[in-house]
Amino acid sequence: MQDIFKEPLPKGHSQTVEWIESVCNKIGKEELAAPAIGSVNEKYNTALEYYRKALSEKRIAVLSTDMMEIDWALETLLDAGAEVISVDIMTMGRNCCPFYSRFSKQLNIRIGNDIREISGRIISEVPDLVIGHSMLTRGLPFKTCIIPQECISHKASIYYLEYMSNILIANEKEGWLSWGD
Amino acid sequence: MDARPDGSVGAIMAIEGIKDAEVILHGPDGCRKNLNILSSKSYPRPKENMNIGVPFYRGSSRIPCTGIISTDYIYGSYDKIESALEFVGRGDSEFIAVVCSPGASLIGDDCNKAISVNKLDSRAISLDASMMSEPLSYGIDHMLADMVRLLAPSDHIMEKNTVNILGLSVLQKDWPTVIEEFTEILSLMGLKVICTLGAGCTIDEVKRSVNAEYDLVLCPEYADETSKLYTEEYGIKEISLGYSPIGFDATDALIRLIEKITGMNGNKALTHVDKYRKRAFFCMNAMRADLKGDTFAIDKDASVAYPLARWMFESLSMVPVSIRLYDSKYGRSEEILREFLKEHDLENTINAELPEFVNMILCDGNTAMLEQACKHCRKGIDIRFPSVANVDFRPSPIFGAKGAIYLLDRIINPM
Repeated sequence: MQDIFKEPLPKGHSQTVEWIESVCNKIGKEELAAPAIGSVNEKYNTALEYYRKALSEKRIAVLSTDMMEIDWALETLLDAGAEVISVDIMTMGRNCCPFYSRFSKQLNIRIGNDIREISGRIISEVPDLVIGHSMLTRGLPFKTCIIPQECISHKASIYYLEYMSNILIANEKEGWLSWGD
Repeated sequence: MDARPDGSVGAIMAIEGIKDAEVILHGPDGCRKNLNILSSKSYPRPKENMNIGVPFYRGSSRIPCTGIISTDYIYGSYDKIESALEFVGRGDSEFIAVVCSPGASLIGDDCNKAISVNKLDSRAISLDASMMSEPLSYGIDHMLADMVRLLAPSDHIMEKNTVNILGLSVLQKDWPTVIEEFTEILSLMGLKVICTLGAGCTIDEVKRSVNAEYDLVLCPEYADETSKLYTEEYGIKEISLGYSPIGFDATDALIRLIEKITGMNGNKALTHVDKYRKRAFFCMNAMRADLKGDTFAIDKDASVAYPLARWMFESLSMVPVSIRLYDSKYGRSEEILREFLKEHDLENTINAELPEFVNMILCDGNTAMLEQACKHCRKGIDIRFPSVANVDFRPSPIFGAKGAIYLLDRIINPM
């Protein structure tokens, strides 16, 4: 068996498209790329069309850490027409590589480590939804959802569209939290 | 293809749900196999008549069968049904219903004559074959109403503070536990159960049921005609939410409704529900379960689907993606369900196809197992028959406070 491709598996939709092209080039079967990419695009675009109803123009705040790669999630949000009002990145101890996002110029990305200050800022912005690490978003008075660890391929993007849309529909506070009263 | 049971199965199971009643199938042996398994599984009884030499039973404990063969379709098979009635009539059964298989219906043997010849008119009836195109719930309801009409004494005396439990059948998940819990709840309110019609009651209790002061309806599709009969003919007051008591809040609501209609104090009954609610809270905290935004699908009657969907939406913040309803002639529960879904912009989920993947599917036990094995869902949850692979050793109802605990156990725990 030969190692033909050493790149990591693609995260989200656009990386998947690039990954398919690279793999097809590497194995010398360029003709396979177009139909495979066509199928991926078709599924992704169908999902975008469906979930845009719920996500389009929604004001989203992102609160994550510098240890997580979040570009695939930001890409999904922007493709769905959501308004990403802010991206706050908490610095978590010593990290060998500085935080990087290909959306740095397009989005308001803020790096910091004072959670009270960050939370205060997010509260003042009154988002419809805060996405990010559950340990950071917990306690914010808005609907929140995580950025899933399962992020491989365009299917992760499609699942995430459904998940965020469901979070916007779902009851903000679970009823069971009052069962102990 | 719709593999859901129809009204004739319902009518048969309504009789099979009565402790001392029995169904004779006038038809070929092959037609009774599934009914026999369904009856034995839904309402297990001591395995009498299991000897292969016992006529008409031939190795099965339920649904004696006339065993029609090919020549009977040409020459008729009246003698077989007459002999079967004669044999079964000598047994302990207080009530016998004769049902013809679709093929036997075409022969046109006079089952009513066979009943009269055997002098069984006061404790046997011949079932209407037209039930085959009716919903399951109608079959059960209509059969039980017919039975009450036939067996009810001409005079009746109302027994104060007594209740019939209606809308429950042996096809309902873990019906013995449902009866146990609601008998306890009613008892805590100073009310006594006379009859759990169609779910483990006796013929004597059916006769006495017309003396009850109230009818408590647990599943309205299954008791629409019966409840009207009791109200119109015997003046019995109906207590019904219009849907089933699923989840803690719906069970509380039913207790408050009983309180309002009967004037009895429901505090002890509410404390009973609260005990289970607090236990659930304790367990939920232990699991730190986060189901918010997870999807679910339901396949069941509207009277169950509505409170179940509402409970999962409000208490667990889960979101329905498909709610497929059983046919029914009772429309109120579906109306309430539609109103609720519309309020949350989810009305397109009614009878929607199952998506490629859904987090949880709540349906019959067999399908639940299959869907989970095929990875079409993270969890398949058994909320109704048929569930051939499982026997409920632990209490596993879906109604009442105990039902809420069962559902949470299945929703939260990985196994």
